[in-house]
Amino acid sequence: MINYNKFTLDNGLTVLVNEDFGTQIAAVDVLYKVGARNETADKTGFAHLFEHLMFGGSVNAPDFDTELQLAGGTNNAFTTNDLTNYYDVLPVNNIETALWLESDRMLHLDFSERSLDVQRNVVCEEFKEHYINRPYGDVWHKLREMVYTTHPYRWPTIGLELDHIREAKLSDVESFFYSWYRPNNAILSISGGISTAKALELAEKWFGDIPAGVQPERIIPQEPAQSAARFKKVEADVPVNLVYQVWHMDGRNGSGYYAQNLLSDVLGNGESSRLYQSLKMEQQLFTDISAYVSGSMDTGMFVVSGKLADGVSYEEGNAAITRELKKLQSEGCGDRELQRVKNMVETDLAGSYMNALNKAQGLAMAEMLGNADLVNTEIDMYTAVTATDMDAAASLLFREDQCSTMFYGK
Amino acid sequence: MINRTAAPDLQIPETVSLGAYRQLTLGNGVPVYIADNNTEDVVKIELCFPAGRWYEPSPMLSRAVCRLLTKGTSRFSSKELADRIEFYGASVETANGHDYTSVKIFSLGKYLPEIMPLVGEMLQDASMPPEELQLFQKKQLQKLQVGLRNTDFVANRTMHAALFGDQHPYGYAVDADMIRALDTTSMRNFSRQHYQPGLATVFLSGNITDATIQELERSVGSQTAEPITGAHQRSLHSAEEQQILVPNAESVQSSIRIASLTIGKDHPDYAPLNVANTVLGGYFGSRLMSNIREDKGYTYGIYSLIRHHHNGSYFVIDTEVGNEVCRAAVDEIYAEMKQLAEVPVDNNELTVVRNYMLGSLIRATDGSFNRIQVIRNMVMSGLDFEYFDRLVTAVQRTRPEQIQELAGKYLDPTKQKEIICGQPI
Repeated sequence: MINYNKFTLDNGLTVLVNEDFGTQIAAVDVLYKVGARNETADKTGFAHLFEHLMFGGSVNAPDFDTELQLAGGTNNAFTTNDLTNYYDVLPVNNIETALWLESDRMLHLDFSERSLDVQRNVVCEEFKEHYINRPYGDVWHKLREMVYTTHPYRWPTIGLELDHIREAKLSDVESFFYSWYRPNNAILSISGGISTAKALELAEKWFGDIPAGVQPERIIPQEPAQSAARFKKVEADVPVNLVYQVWHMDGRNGSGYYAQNLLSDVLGNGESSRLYQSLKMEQQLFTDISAYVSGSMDTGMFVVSGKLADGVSYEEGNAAITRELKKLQSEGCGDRELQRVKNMVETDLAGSYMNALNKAQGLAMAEMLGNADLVNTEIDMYTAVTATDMDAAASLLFREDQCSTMFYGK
Repeated sequence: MINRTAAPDLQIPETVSLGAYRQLTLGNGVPVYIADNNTEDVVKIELCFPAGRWYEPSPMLSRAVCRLLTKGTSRFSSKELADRIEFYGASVETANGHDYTSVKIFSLGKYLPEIMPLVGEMLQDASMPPEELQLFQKKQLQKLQVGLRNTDFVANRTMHAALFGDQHPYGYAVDADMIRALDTTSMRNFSRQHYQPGLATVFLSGNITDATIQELERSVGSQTAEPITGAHQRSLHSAEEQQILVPNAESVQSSIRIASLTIGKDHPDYAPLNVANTVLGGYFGSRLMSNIREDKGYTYGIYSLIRHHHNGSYFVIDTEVGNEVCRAAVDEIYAEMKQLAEVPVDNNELTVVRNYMLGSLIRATDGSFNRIQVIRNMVMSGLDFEYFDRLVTAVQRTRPEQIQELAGKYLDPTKQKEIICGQPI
């Protein structure tokens, strides 16, 4: 159970505070509700490039990292398709340093050609290191562009191509900042050995005078329902061939999300899951197989992916996955199976919030979904799922004409 | 209006303590270390065994045994074990290392009575089923094939062989023959000897109650262990050549490793050397990161670190850079190493490093899951608990001239192995 309080400053900034006097640490998490889904198709990779620029210094604090390190802190950030998240962890006595730094870069990041030049290069090297120089590095590029025809989930956060990053201009960067990095589009979440009153006072002190922005109009093109099966074969000189089957599923706030997520656990989470037992252990068609969900705000991906065993054809592996899904549809999910996945979620959630950073981040993420209290109540959503819900989810999801299949390899 | 131009005042803690922990001994003498936190009813149990690479009679055996430990006993198949454990939402995972291996149990406290007897059974009676071995072999062969295409992977294995020798347990590079040569009889023998419950060292975190300890007594604490037999003396042969290039024509980046054998954590120079290493490449604000990433944009990341094993530690600088800037990056790395030995670190920089490191030590002990790892690392390295205080003291007291001296002694660019895998232009 995470106790917290929620406030909204006059400029629209949401502030969440979890008091925990059992630690000498404070975690400060700043979540901006902008991710790759807010990009346009000709300027992809921008939200992530911007995350790098946020470390290029602000008007009063030219060197973010050094100031934070001087305060005994560390920080990092990540960008997803839905959001950009910055976090600082430091001795609680120095929490003001983190608030000063975070508020200063929210108020006025110091845009410069020099910083943009360097970070463009760094991001290009990141692109090469993770997506080009590595076998299978482009799997998600290929998969997303098939699964999504319309929604910006078509591209991964790193972007569609290196050129989009190489061509980023300072003016693009500035307009991105003033569109999305305003207090009314952000959540500040604090956890640590500090009283709620003090944390709120400091949040007000450092963030209170940052002007609100015009709430960006979100016109994210939504993905239309799929009407025909899709197939793609990607030729890649890799040692092991992969099979993917992907279905559209509910977004994070959709009514079917929890049952669908549990369904992925029934199929592919753990060694006692269906796909693992049947296709890996018994039939030995795959050396690895799993099922998981993307957990996206908008229409998400329900993914089954497997590494084919040597000598097994794509068709054979793919047909075996389809058989298992049909079997689940016709037989339904057993009570013991459902209990198993619920117990797994319970353990997982109970272990999720064991330090200050996890708590601050968990609260911020839940608040982005619309309700910080989800950190405490999410378990109930899973517990409430019935066998009937599971069957309904299976019959709704696994329709042949709504599947995207990808074979990747030789 | 607030004054944003000046940084808020700082308070740097005078002392950092490891935080609360307890210690007890099971009936058979097995030591147990405990860091409690009872906000949620989750328990982490880590059982460490002297079963790493160092103890292997033949290559790959340690990893294979470790992975198959949970894959079947005389009574239960891997499926039955997985069913029983996962039904309660628990997990039992293993991890292999160079010196010791770990069996990690993660469970809600209320289900431990269901889980721990199964763990006890795995330790004493793992059956190493042939069909599980075949699966393991298939998967390892696949992994090896994938890895060999990855410059990162190839650079690491080349470096280990260059530092320790390709016959040494820390140095050998796994090949397909080693994977194929595994056999279940040797594996069973190894598991019988090296996973005896009485050989365990136990680390507990989360919601630890008397009931937890009782479960542990039953599953781990009831039998004394036979001593491990067999000599484990290995000779170390570093490679002759100083520069090793492994070409990879497909690669758009080159992996660079600059490495040398170095002192262990038990050496009096280690704690201050750790400070010198941090200045060089041990944190995001380090000289290497500032120069090679932030200033030149050659790389996504560059770090230097000291990696410890019981019988041999090494220093390494690790990065991936564009092929076209590979040589320039290596030159910059050497220049930074040289600079560290020649010019004293100025006080501002040292203050940043000091405060950062003190903060790291505080963060490392935040929450019982984190704290127990710090404890485990010390205990399993054979260190006493004062080691933590020595680290803190070194951070507070290391002087610029000492860093210079240690850099000259241990971070000399002319004494490094230089391994490059890729296609440097």
